[in-house]
Amino acid sequence: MTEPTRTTLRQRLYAFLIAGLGGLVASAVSFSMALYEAAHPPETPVVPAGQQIDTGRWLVTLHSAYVGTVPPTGIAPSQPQQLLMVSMNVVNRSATPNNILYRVVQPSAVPAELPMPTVYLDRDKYIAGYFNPDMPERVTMVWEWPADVPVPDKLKLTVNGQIYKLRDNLYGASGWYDGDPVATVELPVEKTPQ
Amino acid sequence: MKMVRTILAVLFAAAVLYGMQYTRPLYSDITSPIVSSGGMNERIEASTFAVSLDRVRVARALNIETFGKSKPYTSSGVWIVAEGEAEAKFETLSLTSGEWLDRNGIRYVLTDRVPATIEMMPGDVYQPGLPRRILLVFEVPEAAIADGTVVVARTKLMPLDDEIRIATNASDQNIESAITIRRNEEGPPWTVLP
Repeated sequence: MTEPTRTTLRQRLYAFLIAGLGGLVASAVSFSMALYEAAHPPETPVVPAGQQIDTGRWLVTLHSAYVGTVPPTGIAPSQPQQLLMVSMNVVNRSATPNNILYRVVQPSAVPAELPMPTVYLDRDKYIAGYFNPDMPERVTMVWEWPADVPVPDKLKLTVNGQIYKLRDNLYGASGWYDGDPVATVELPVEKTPQ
Repeated sequence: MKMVRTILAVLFAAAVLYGMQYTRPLYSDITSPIVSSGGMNERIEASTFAVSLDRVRVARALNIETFGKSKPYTSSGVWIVAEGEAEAKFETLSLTSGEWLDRNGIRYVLTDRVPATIEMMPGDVYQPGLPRRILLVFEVPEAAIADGTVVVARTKLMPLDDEIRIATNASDQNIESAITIRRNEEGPPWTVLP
């Protein structure tokens, strides 16, 4: 005689089927939501130059863009380079020092792949280090622009937001994470005669 | 009846887990460094090293004299120059992390604007029984001076390592216009001029 509480093979088969179908439905829903979001990206507001943008971790104000061959240090590199420079004000609004600005301000829709930018502190005319909390600084972000690609007349920059998580999903540790773009700024590129 | 009991048990477990998620300490608290704290002019001992601070000065500008040339460093806040002594206790080690912690818990790292800041503390090697002079330079907003604490650790990344916290007597009432730091060619690498 079998015990009355023990599940039969048929019952267990149903349980597996329901769990499997449920999982399939969940992944289908999640995939179609991801597809929908990719097809309908949220509109990022277009912000004029000189207006302060709150990214969560930073307050960024983009001022102007220009092309030159001499970096803000005033010392021309031995190999002539074309440099795309963007002048901006930044304030670190978080509680810890940080210097990862290249993920906050990114040129979008540029005709060439750009290397990592260098950030110069205007106060020192030298490469910037950490930005301490609540200490506004004027900086210049400099990208090396490839010589064989013409620089567009207008530069579109995306300003990315960051979100603070008190507990992250892996360790439960707190930290800042990349969020959605919060603004796009279009700057006319000043081309000073060489 | 049995089903009701199962559902109740699951709900109870969910409630306990939810409660624990919000009442247990954060991961960063669990793995935070082991703090030894004290005040100025006293030797604070951690398990592997000891630090004392004997002087903290605040100024609006820094003049750095290197090889006969003087360069001024301005700031949107103030400069804090702290001098003291550090000693390893049992084995050779280096102290690479120095921070200024204000009364709201906001952190400011050792400045990296001044050239060869690394020789001021982080780049030195501390031998057991041979105390060395240390110099820490911070750049902070004026509101962060009062009740500030100097935090010294071997590295910033090591969880559950030693950390020394020294409550300073820095005051926002006594801000000098400038402090000159001279880089030496021999002897201690830096001298803070009175």
